[in-house]
This record gives sequence, C-alpha cells and structure tokens, in this order.
Amino acid sequence: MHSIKNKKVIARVSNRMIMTDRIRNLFSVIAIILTSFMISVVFSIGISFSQNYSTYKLRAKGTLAEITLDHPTSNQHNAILGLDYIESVGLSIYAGSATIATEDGQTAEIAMTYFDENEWKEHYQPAISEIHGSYPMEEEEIMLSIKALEYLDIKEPQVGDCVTLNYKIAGQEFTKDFILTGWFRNFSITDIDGSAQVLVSEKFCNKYGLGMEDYGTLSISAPKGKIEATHIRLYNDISLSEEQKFLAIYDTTRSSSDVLIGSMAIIIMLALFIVLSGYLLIYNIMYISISKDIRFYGMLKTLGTTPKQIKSIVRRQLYLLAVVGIPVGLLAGAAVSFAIVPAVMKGMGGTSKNPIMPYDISFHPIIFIGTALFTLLTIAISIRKPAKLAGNVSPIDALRYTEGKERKKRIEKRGTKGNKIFRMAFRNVMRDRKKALVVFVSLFMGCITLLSINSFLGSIDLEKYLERYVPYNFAYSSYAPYSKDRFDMDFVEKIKSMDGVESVETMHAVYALVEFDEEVLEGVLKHDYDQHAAQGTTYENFVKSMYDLSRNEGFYSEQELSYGTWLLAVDDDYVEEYNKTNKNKINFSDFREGKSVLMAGSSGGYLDSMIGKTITIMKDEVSEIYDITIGGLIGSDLLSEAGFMSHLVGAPPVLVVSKDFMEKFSGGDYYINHIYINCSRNQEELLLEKLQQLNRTRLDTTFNFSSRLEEGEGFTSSIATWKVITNGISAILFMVGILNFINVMITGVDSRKRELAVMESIGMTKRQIGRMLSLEGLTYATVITGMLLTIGNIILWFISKNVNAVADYAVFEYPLTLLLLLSIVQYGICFLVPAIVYNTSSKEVLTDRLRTVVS
Amino acid sequence: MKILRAENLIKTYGEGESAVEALAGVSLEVEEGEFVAVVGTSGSGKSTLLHMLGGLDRPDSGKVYIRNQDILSFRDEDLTVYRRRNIGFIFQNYNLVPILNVYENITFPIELDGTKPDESFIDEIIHTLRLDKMSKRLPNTLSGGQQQRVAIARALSTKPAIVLADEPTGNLDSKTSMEVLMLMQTISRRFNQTTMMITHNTEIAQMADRIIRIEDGRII
Repeated sequence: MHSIKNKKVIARVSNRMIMTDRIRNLFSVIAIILTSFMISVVFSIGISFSQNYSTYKLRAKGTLAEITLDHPTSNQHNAILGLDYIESVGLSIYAGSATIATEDGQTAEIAMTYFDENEWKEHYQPAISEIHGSYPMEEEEIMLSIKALEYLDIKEPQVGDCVTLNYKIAGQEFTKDFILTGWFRNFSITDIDGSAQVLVSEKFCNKYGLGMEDYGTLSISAPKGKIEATHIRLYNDISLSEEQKFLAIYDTTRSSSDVLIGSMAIIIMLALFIVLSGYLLIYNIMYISISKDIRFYGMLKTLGTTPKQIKSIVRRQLYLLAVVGIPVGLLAGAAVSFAIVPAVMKGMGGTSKNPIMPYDISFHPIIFIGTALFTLLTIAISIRKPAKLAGNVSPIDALRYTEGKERKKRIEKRGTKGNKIFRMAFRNVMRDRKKALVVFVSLFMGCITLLSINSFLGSIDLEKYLERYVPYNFAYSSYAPYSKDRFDMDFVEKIKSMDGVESVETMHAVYALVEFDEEVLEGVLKHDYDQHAAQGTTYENFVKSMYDLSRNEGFYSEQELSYGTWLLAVDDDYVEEYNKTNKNKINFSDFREGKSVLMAGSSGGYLDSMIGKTITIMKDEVSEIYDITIGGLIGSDLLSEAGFMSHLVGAPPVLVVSKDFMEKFSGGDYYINHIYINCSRNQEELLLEKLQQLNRTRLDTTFNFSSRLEEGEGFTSSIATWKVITNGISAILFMVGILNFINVMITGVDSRKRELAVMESIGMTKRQIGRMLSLEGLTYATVITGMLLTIGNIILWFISKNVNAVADYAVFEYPLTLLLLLSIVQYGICFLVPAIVYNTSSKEVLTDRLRTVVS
Repeated sequence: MKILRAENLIKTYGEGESAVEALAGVSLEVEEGEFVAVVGTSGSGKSTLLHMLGGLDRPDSGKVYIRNQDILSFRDEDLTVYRRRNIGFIFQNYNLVPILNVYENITFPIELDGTKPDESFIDEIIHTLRLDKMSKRLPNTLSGGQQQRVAIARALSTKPAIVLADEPTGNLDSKTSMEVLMLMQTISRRFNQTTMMITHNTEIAQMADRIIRIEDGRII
C-alpha cells in the first residue's frame, strides 16, 4: 500500500469525538492527572534525595579533596600541578589561631587559614553554603564562618565591618583590627552551626612569613572512584622528604551507597506501582467508553476505516486528554513537592541533628521529562487493549447491534421484595467480568497498601529500636589519627565525674608496625591487590611496593601509616558474641594474652586464608616484638567500629585485641577511639546539655558525638514523615479504586438506561431499581472485603513474618481498626454512589427514556 | 461487462440443530451500469447476501468477484481498503457519522484513503441530490429523507464499482421513499453506476432494471 495522507480526517474524527463524552473525558483527565501527579512527586523526592545526599556527604567531609600533603615544597607543588591524573590541587596555609571569649566564659581558639584560589573555589566552596561577600585579598581583610561570627557576637554582619581579633602566630600574640569581606556557613557533624573559622589573605601570610613548607598543606582531588589508585601513583611520582606522606580520606562508610540504592529501589517500586494503578484506571475508563461506542466504531469500519485508523482514532483521543492532564498533574506535583520534599528529606535523613543534609527540592528537567514519559507509557499500555477492541470490531456485529438484538434481562413481576433483586444485582456485577475484575483489583490494591504500610510502620517500635541500635545514652567516636585533639583520660575522667553518669566504657587503638612477610601475608596482599591496586600494576610490582614501604626506614620514625595496621582493643563480650556465631572459636585466655587476635573483614574471599597465620608486630623499632595468630575474621555486623578505621592498602586490616594486650603492647600510649556513656534516665537531658557544653571547648571537631535522646527524636519524626507520605500515596491508590468503581457505576447505569426504563415500565418501582443498584454496589464491597480477609490476611501474615528481617526490633501489630474503618468507608461509598447516580439519571420522563436508543 | 460475479455462496449461522442456512448456494452476475433489486421476505437471506457481496462478512464457501478480482482472498485490513475504494453502501438507518457535517460525511471515505476529493464531481452529486444548502449541517438536524440522500452521496463519492443498498427506504414514508428511489434511478443512469438494492417491497423493486428473488437462501 502506498503511504496515504489520512491524518487529517483521523484527527478530525478524534477531535470531534472527544467532545461527545464528557464524563469519560473528566474521568480520563482525572486519572491522567493522578498518575502524573503521583509520579512527579515520587520522582522529585527521588532525585532531590540523591542530590541532597551527595551534598550531605560532601559537607560532612568539609572539602572536595581526598588526599593531602603537609609541608610541601614549591617544587612538589608544581610537580603535582603538572600531573594529568588528578582533578585539582589547592594550597592552604595554617596562619595561627585567634582567641575568642565565648558566652559561657570559656575561651575558644579558632584556626586562621589561608586558601589559594584553587583550594577556595574547587575544594572548599562546594562544601559550604550561604557565602556572602568575597575572599579577602588585602592583609587586613578577613572572612569568617557563621560560627565564628556567633563567637564574636556579631548578629548582623556587613561587608566592611571592623572586627578586632587577638591572635597567636608561632607563640607570639597580636591584636589587630580587620575588615570583614564576607562570611559563610560551614558544617560540622557535632554542631548545627558548623565550626568557627577565620580566613585570611595571601598578603597576611606573606607579612608574617608563613610559607608553604612550614605551614602549608596541599589538598588534591582525584577522579571519581580512583582515590586509592591516585594515592599509590602519587607515591611513585612525587619524591617526598622523610617526614612527608600523602594522607588519603577514603569513603569508608560503605553504607552510604546502600542507603542511596535502597531509597532508589523503593522509589522505582513506587513508580511501577503507580503506573500499574494508573493503568487499571485508564484501561477501565477507556474499555467502558469503547464498549459504549462500539456501534460507532463498527460503522466507521463499514465505511472503510481500517483497524489501524480506528486504533489511532481511539489513541488520539486519549493523548489529547493527556495534553490537558499531564501538565496539570505536573503542576500539582510540583506544588505538593514544595511542601512534601523537605519533610521527606528530613525523614530520610534519619536523625533530626542533621542540618548538613539540605532539604532542597530539585526542579530538574528530568523530573518533568520522566513524569511525562512514565505517564505516556502508562497511557500507551492502558489504551492498547481498548484500541484493539475498537479496531477489531466486526462491521456486521456493529450493524446487528442496531437491530434491537440487545441482551435483555428477563425479570418477573411478582413480589416487590424477594431475593430476586439480590440475584439480579450479583448477575449484573458479574455481567462484565473484566470490568468487575478491574474494580476489584484496584480497590483491593488501595486497601491492601494502606493496611500493609500501616501495619509495617506501626510495628516499628521506638523503644526497641533504641535498645537495639543505640545501646548507650551517649557515644563519642574519634578516628585516629585524623583527630588532632585526641581524647585522653582527663577527658574521660571529666565525663565520669558528671552527675548522673552510671558507666563509661572506652575502646582503645594503637598503630602497630607489621613485619612484611610475603608468604604469611599472601591472603591480605591478594585481597587488596584485587580490590584496590591501580590498573596496570602487576601483582609482583604491588608486592614489591609493599616490601619497599616496609623497608623504608623513614617510615619507622613516624609510625602512623607506615607498613602496619591499627590494633583495636575491646572487652571480652565482643569475643563472646563472636564465638556464638562463628565456627573458628577463640580461646579466651589466648585472646587476653594477645596470642590470638581477630582480624576485621568478611569471610568468603582471600582473607579466609589468613586464619591461623602468625604475624609479627611491634610498636616501634625499639620496642618489644610480638607474634600474634589470627584466630578469625570479625565482620562489621559485630564490630562496626572496626569498619570506620582506615587501613593501609596492602597491609592487614584492623586487628582486634584485648585491653590487657593493648596495655602491654603500647605501654599505655594509645588513642581513645570510642567513649560510651550510660546514665540514669532522669538525668539524660541535663547530661546532654553538659556534654554539649564540654564539646564546645574542644579545638578539634572531627570527632562524632551522638545521643540516644536526639536519635530517638529524629527517629520518631522520620517515622512520622514516612507515615504521612506512604499513607498519602496509598490514600491516592484507594481513591483510584473508588474512582474506578464510580466510573463503572455511572457508565453502567447510563448504558442500561433503556433497560432500566424497560424494567420500570413493567412494574419495577424506582425504589426497587435503586435498591438493586445499591445491592450491586454492596456486592463490590463484599467481594473486596472478602479479598482483604483472605488474600489480604495472607499478605499481612507475610509482612508479620518478615517485618523482623527489615527491622529486627519491630513487633507486628494487626491493623484491625484500620481494616474496620476501610470496610465501613467502602460499604458506605458502594451503597450510596449507585443510588445517587440512578436518581440523577432517571429524572427524564419514562417514555423518553424508553425511546432512547442505546448508542 | 460483468462487474460483479458470485459463485455458489454458502453461509450457515449457528451449529447443530439450531443451525440456520442463511445462504444455500447463491450464484449471480451483475452487468456494469445495471440497477438490480433483490427481493425476499424477512429472513430469506437477502441481507446476508448483501454483506457477502460487500465484503462485510465472509461466506463458509463460495467466491465473490468484483471487476474479476476475488475480494475474499484479501486480508481484513486490505479488504477494508478495497471496500472503501470500490463499494458504496447505503443502509436503512443511514449510518451517518454524527460528529461530521454533511460535506465531511460525503467525503469521509475519500479522506480515509488520503486522497483529495474530486470537488467538481462531489459538487455534481450534491447538486443532483439537492443537498447544496445543507452541506454544513450536522446529520441530527436533517430529516430522514435528507439523511438518506447524504448517505447516497457518500456511497457515490468514491466512484465505486458497485453501490449496495440495504433497504434504503425502510425508515422513510412512502412519498420520501419514492423521491429517494427516483434519485437512485437517475444516478444509476446518469453516472452509469452499477447499483444493487435489497428490499422486501416488490413495489419498490419495480423501479430497478432487473429483479432477483431470494427465498430460504436460494435464488428463485
């Protein structure tokens, strides 16, 4: 067949047809609006979350850079600038500290820092917000963080304000009036207001002769996912002095990507669910509309309209409605997103003390395009079958249709009541099984989502959550060696002396040098070569570089990050817990003596071969040498603390030892990595305040402080937000079901207008007809209630069995009240709608209705 | 020249005891330009015959040739296209598209084909059928006779090989019926249009050049 230009006539027919069925149009547009609305809300939550989450991670880190080098020479600086495999290099110079008296009578020392343009623009700016003004250029100019403004009691800062600072450079004290050129908000895990910071100009550094070799740090950012490879290459390409080393901050929180993937999975599932329910609704509306117009399509076919052309007439009508529906849905979605997204962001963030996570809504074009596409996809799959029905209509059947051979229902006149009416109602419901099924499924889906979500979220118990996941009232963690200001026993004693403190537990760490023995360490070497080695590096070269590192004497003088690993000392109960779940049991006395240790890592890989190996460790080259045997692998599920500690690629991961051995090995010179505090319940709030005060006096802010009280608040609000969102979505699904039902009733009554008139003419009273229709509605409600009690209960049972797998602290609760409520609402609607529809449609005179030709 | 030829058409509806033989081996031929009437009582099989000849339905066996082309050998989609180009239908209940105006109804089959209507020809039909003043009106504003005239115009618009009319005056009063039939006769002569009309009314059948009788699915 030659290609023919018949688009115009198809367009004309569809455009005019669309005006003939107002109710169908209204329902279709509502269905399209609902679908695009829900999809756009879900998409904007998803995309905003993923964007905000990466901002959160960046802000928490404080810089875009991953690798640092202290005391660089300008030769090294230039050499690194010339490397093609790094993203950027920035220079910062430590320019002393300013001393400020804080409100509570204490003094705080604030670091004064200079950033070169690269460091400021490429590494620092992306991790801060609310930047006002510009970077200081002149010697007497400064820029402050909002926290520093707060310390200085500057409420309404203006560019050009005079700020007087007392500061120390290399032990010498100065006082000077500075001009404020700007301020910004930085972020800190411990304090909502960020940390205090003073930024100074290059001229300031020059004046005091603060050069990079003495006071500088180079910060290097590596291409995405290549931090470790870059780290290793830097060692090869840049010659360092004996004291220098490249420090790398790896993203050790593996769970962060899990959070993201998990959230994305939920969002995609929701989107598919919405597509499915949208499909049910649109399909139903179009199917009914086409069955109603079947004679018309048959006639078109008699006149020579091909099935293809008829299908495109049907499709075109729906797409025209989509042109109205999708934009409205998008706008409504955007409006609601403004309100909902920030709330959800807070909810997803988990805890309330998370100001670092922005609550921004992203109006990314992807949201609009994605929503439009998903909605169109829904429409396309919904219309397929109805269009086929219209396209395949036999012209003869369509013609017959007018010959009065319409199916008629026989009814008997006798009796004004009787069970006849009920039987008729049931037969009417089942007359079009497909239609009935769609109503059943969509109403059931709405109900069961509401029930499932509520029973699931209802099972999540705050108390149990806290018991399981926040076993201590307060916890400190500091990840040596990055923390400049270590926790010491004084600090621990200070806490111990506070009122209400019941117990304080600590976890200690120390760095141990490991003797390099290729054979003994083969499992570790192979594991790390597999996971972390740079591309193109052979195993032999990798092993050799480790050997060189271990022989590099310069490293021995400064132990941290030379060839070796962290020892983490824990109490016996961790070993007890370990022995409960593992085959390779550890002997307690061996563990206490340090003969037997645990290595952090998961089994199932090269690391398995390390079990039973004996390695040699020492604190430094002059101290005693110890031989320790690796008794087993301890996963992060038992000891999450180990997962957060850095480990040198090619050297063994964290080794878990007893406190006795730690004492012996380190001679008391260890880091306090974790402090866990328990207190009496009534003192919790008071103690929180005291600890927060204590935290403010610390120079270093790289430690992490958490409180069960705040976690609990955050958890409650996060559950509450989730409830609002998920209930909102399931309420919409429920509405879709009801809409489907109303549509079926309206079109059902409308297309049976004549049939109902015939019944009336032979003596069925209007009341009886109304009752019959209401009974039809009740049949729907009963079937769905039945489905809820059977299939629904199976699903709920399944949830009750699995709720613990998702949240191990959850206790399942049967949603009886909600089930009752849903049933009542459903019965009410199903009872009232049919009668109302009939009453409005039966206002015409009987003879007129009798004459109506069903078309 | 023979424009239509049917060979031994058989069609049975239903199965077993309730089976009804609608056509029991019908063969017929129609010459170009002929105006043929098929008469028969209700249930004689005349409508079924018309449906088979027009390609609206398929017989159980037998063949239909239009201009020597075996139309039943086409696939459905192609048959539809063939039908709209070569066969014009006129129905008892007019079957006008209610959402299109008179002119659009008339040109509908042509536009479905994607071709441009031959305007002078359409104008001539409209003029002959006295529809000039109502070409912009919608079908539901017209009387029955007017609607049937529009249906006739539509059937002619594609210059079909044959026009099949199924009780074209069934819904019209006798005066209007006569008018419509006169018009059909005129057109058949004027445009040399082959036309086959089925009716149960022998009086109306008299207007045709030839009358074919059908009873119990057989031509007698």
